[in-house]
Amino acid sequence: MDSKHQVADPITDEWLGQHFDHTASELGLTLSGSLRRMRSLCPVAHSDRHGGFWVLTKYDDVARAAQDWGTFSSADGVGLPRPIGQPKTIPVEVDPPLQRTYRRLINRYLAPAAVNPWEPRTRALASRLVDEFADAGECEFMEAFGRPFPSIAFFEYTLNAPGEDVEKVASWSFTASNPSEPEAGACFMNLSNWINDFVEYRRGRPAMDDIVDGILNADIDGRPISHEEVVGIILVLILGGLETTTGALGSMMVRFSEQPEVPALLRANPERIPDAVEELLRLDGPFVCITRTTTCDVEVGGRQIKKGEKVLLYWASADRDDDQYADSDSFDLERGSGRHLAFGVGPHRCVGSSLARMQLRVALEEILRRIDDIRLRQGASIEYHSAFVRSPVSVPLTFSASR
Amino acid sequence: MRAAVDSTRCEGHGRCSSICPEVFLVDEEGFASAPDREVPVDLEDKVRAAQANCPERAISLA
Repeated sequence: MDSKHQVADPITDEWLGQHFDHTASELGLTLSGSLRRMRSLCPVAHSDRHGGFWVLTKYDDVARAAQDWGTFSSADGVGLPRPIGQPKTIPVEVDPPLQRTYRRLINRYLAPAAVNPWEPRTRALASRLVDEFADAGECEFMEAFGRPFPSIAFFEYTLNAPGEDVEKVASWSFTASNPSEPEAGACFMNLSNWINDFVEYRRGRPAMDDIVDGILNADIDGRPISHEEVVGIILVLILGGLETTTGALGSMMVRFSEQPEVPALLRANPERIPDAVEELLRLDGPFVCITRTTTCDVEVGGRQIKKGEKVLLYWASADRDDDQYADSDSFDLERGSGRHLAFGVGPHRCVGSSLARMQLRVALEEILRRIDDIRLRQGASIEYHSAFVRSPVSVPLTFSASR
Repeated sequence: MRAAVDSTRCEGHGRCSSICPEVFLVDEEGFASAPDREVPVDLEDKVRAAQANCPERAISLA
């Protein structure tokens, strides 16, 4: 996916090794190539930006740090910089053992057995959205499908929230997830206010025995859940449930347009779509990195990291580490293991991964069944919204309706 | 073949029970276990796939 959009690379070795900034817009188009250079030049890098922080890019280092929550803590925030005004996200910014109490509370509503019954409605939604553009021969994919599909689905049958609010909440979530956006803090405020209203709305309605009721009525280690905890958990569901799946869908379409053999293979062998979802997530996972803070001095890859330092774990880099995946930049359906880090690993690994997998599989099944010859519109160039969540801003496509 | 889930490593991702629900059971909150009995021969491939897909490497086979 990188070759066609390669611009003159302004990123120097010195920048990667000493001044790296994950929020830099230059990384939008050069992310995978830049991370490849870091893995060989400086696999454990220190940057002087954002008050100083470390960057881990090798699979083993990233996985180890993510699983060793006692050394690499989430309690001091997982964004860098952390937007002013952002409420505490729960359980994302909480360490075990309390984290596990929250996790058990929401996990049951997002486990495979809970999300599988949503498949028929998910498929009906995907089909309805594809209906709107399949015969037109062109669309702006993010607007037509990438943004509405996960957000409408999430509002309708996970949150049971008022459908008329979908667009504004999705838009705040989009902006809030990028720490270099000046409006990020204000969007967190809007999201908190919306959640306050939503909680009131749900309290005034009959119980639905869904994830929201589960949160509102939760017992946290022997006491009722607090309002701040309710807001923090619902905020995580929104931030995690909308923009991430949107980014994955957008990147999948970009790759399909550049490697038409991939959609051709899947159209001929739709039973391989679940494996393709895993491989596409490994290559172009939307959640590209996360921050931890060390609780003690620790050595990683021969470098000494002091207690209290920020460490960026690059999932997107780990998943293209040649020491883990042979010929890691290529799409290969025969890799056979879904142990990629697109959903993270360890106690904080994505709680919605089963829902995301189902949504992505259904979306690809419906899209590939209905449209063919997927191409980027001539002259179109893709820009990425890219810091922690990587998502194409717009994906103008042309295609033909399948016969 | 026998399969075991290390409950201290399982984080409730649900990969094993999606791939081989015949062997891997999940509790109400989504965390996995495997009853201590012989895996039927025709399920061995699925159990190996479940082990290979566990993000936490919590599944052992003996």
